[in-house]
Amino acid sequence: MRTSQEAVLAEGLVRRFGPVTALAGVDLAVPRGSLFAVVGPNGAGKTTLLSILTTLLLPTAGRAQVLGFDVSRSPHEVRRRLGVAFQELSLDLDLPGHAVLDFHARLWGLGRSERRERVEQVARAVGLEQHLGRKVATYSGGMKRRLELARALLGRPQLLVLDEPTAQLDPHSREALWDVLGRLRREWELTVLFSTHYLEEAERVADQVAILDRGRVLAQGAPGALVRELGEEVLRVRAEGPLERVGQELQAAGAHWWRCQDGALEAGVASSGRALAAVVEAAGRLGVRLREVSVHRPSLHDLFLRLTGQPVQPGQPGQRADQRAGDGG
Amino acid sequence: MQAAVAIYLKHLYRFVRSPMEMSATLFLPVLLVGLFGVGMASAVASLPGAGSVFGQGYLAYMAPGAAVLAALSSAVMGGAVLLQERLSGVLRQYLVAPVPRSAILAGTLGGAVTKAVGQALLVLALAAAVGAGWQLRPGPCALALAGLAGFAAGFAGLAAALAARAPSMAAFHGVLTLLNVPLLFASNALYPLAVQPAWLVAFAWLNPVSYVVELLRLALVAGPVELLGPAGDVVVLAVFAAAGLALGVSGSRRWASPA
Repeated sequence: MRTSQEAVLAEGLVRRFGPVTALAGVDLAVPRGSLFAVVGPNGAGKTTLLSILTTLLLPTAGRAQVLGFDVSRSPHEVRRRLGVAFQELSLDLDLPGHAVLDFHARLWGLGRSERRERVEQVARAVGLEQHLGRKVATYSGGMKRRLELARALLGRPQLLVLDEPTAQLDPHSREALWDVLGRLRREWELTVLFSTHYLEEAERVADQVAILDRGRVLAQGAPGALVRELGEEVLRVRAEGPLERVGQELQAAGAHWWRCQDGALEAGVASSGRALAAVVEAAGRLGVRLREVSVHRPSLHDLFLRLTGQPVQPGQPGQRADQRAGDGG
Repeated sequence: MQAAVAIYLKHLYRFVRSPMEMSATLFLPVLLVGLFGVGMASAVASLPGAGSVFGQGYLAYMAPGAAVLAALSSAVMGGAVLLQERLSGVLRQYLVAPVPRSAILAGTLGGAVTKAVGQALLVLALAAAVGAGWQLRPGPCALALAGLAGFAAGFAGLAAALAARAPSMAAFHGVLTLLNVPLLFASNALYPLAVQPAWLVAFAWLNPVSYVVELLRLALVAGPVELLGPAGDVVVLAVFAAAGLALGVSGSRRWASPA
């Protein structure tokens, strides 16, 4: 396995829970210093993957290295270099913020003065230094997330693993959290690996993404490069009639790909003007009644849809929209 | 060791900062000694032959039993703390830190034993304050304290084993409530074995509560040996502590080891 450039390297990771296969052979390479997103709907296997990488679960097959250490053979070495914040809040709500951080710092074996210094440092880093005297129960959701982040930073990790860090946060708190993470990453030279089902968020903040669905990595790379594979623009047509025929005509006219689903045709094209002309011409010839035509820049949503045939639907793991026609791309 | 101390201190810190838990801890001895001990003392004194059965009086007799029951209650709360941390995800934070798994259990059980012994001492202090009339003898008292700590460790270990399996706090407390009744009544905590039917005495011989009560009582009150006497009681309690802790360690593998 390679180790020098990657903070995380996984090869063929499989994890089964009885008859359920949560990971079905995941390969993953997270470059050092990157902000890396694992995206996918609920039930895709994101939390299972992160649980293996944080040494909470053993893989059924395959192997993974974190910062050069095998997660199964050297879990203690991995833990010494990790900071982790889980999807569900795991705070002692009845303690004041400083006590939560101070007791966790003790777990890292820090002496009294070092603890005080480190707690101040991480609290300042996440903007909570004015609130440490309050009980955690009185914190807002965003503040609790930031406190968890501060706790994860206490051991001066090289890799920060965050499972759905912005889940259940309002937009303002989400922005504040990303601001903090962006600054930390630069100043602390961290690698940040996070999972999310917010594709637009991953596309906006991450250097690299891996799209996970049903326990498999479907695509991995820089978000911009991944979506560019879809073409310069995505043309979406709602119409009545044989849309599949229109799709075939579009492909002949140079579309990168096309698909028909739920009464709509979507196609990745280099130029929406030329593609639109081809659609109008084909529709007139084939007797298709156009209802609505739109053009947008491709996004990870489009990529996910193209790869899986379903939109990301949080809360509906494993469900797929009924695909009515084959992929022409 | 540092991690175990950290977790131990955290549990004690939480305890002293929790008004509800502190109140319950302080109020239980008042209830046991004030309502039950003092209240029953006059009723028991009126019974024929009470003097020969209870020696210095019922309060002096029952207070060691009450102290042990208070300790039992605090010891099993160690399991509840562990379960709460397991269910709330706090335990996972320990598990992803570079902390030996044994330290998590040691810190948690250490906190439970400290609270248990402290609460037992509170009961005894209160009973002494309202007239139990004991004569403190350092040697037997130190031995009894060690036996009490072993007893608390054994039950804390059992509770930790239960906490590793319990699906919810309600299930955990349901099982413990069920166990509390035989532990309380099938023992010499509140009345002597001599006045109990043979079948109940047989259960009392199997109950660790009986041995620690006898050890404590013999340290505080001159009285007849009901079971094995101090040396035998200590051996039984040491075995019980070892067995309870072994079960606790075994149970901890369910949450401590990557599955």
